[in-house]
Amino acid sequence: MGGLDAQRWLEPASTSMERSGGLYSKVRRAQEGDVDAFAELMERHAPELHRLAAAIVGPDDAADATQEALLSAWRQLPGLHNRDSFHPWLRTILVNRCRNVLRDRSRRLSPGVLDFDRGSEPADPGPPVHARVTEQDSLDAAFETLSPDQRALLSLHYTMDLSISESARTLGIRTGTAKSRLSSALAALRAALSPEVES
Amino acid sequence: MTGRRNNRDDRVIDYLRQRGEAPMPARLPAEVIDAAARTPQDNDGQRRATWVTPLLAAAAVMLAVVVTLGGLALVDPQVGDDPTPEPSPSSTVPTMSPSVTPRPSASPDPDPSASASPEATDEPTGVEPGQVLVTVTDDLVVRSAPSTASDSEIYSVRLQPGDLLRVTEGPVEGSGFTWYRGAVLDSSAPDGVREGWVAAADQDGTAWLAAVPGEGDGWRLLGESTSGEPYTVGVATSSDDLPALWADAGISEDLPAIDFQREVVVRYTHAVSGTCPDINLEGIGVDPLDDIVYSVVTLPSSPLFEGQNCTSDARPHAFVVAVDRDQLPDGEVHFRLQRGFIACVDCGRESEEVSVVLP
Repeated sequence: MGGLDAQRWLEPASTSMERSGGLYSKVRRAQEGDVDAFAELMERHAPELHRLAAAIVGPDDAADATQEALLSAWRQLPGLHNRDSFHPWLRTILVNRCRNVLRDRSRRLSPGVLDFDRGSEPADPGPPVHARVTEQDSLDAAFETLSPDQRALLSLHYTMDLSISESARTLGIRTGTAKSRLSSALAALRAALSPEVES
Repeated sequence: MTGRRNNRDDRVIDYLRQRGEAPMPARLPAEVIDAAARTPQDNDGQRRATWVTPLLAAAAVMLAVVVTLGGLALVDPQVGDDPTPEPSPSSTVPTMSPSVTPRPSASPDPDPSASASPEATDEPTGVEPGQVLVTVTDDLVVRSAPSTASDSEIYSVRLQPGDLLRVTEGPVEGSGFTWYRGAVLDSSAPDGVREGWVAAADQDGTAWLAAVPGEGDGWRLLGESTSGEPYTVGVATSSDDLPALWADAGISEDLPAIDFQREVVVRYTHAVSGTCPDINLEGIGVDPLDDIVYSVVTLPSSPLFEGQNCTSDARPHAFVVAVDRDQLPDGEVHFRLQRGFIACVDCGRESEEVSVVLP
């Protein structure tokens, strides 16, 4: 049985990462506690992770989510047994961190109380509220109503241009499940576009 | 109408593409590196990585750790592992028990003002020393004393869904929580085991720890064997599927009689060390949020159970159970070897989960 397990878990002698710029060895060095190697990996991947975080949780929380995900990755890196999967592994950590941010956020908002605290109200109420709502506002509001997984799926697939199957693997769900969740999420966003805005 | 819909799609997709356009703060990389330089790495995962490498004999001790507490020892990017000052739920993963019901996910941080979940789970009752409880939330902290006072030290270990607590004392009330003292695996502890106090539920009664119900509580053990392929799961939803599942488990006895209208049959084949072959199936857990049905196993020989060092040879141990259909989530169900999140991609662990759409 030992052979079976060795075959199962043994890393390949040569990998695409090894052949392309020594990333494989950087991951290995970082796994052994080399902070400089981790810094090099981070330099390469942090911008993409931040972009993904901004898409999922918004710009205000993106930096914190990215920072926490990277630090979490540093801690867990010794346990990464397939160094080829470093990049998707990192992405999964980031998505999980974003899920936490969203759960935290939803818990802090009492049911029925929306967070409209985006600045002081003008003395003059101005035109009717509905006339001041932009398409961006509508889509932002609709996006806020989506579940963490729907937000992550939309961001992975449309913002990061990952395939549906790769997005599904990042979230640990089936491809079919991802397709149906994407579909319902897109429908929710489409519905946010009013006829007036559309015209 | 079609053109109008496409136009909307284009605008939605444009919106999604621009959502990621936020400049990354220049200070971010430096802050992460500073923090990393001060943060020790978690070597639990390394244990598994070295264990599977034949050249590294040091992995011998680790096998029991890996198999016993898969959620803690596997290479899992957890939903969060930041230090949190209090016990903190973010998802509830009840084990199969009539007293445990699903609830929506919650926050990783304590928030006394947050509203109670409408479907709060019940905390475990009637727990005796020696019993094993399973963690059903994220980032649950372990303390030196049964209170949240400043003199109750918070250990660095964080319990994740599926992590086990072997109870040695309790329950004890303190700071509005019910606490159990027990042993958990902790790589930062000198012998790999941390003894501490863990809160069983939040102040609304939402469970953070759950009892692992024994046989007869929604599932029954049909058979077990020491053959088959480790790290695999099989499911039979009809009598047509059962012979192959039974053969994969390597059980020599006759096929059991199953009412597939009422039950499904699941095979969970774990790996154990040849020198520490004891493994107990504690229960079958159900995570209704993610539709995961998983086995909860313990190894009496692991450090958690004051055992011995184990060699790194992996031997299969299969459990075949019948699970009541009315205990299972509707629709697509993911039968997973253990609760720990399968984080890696294309790393050979896909066989640890089988997904079935139940009629």
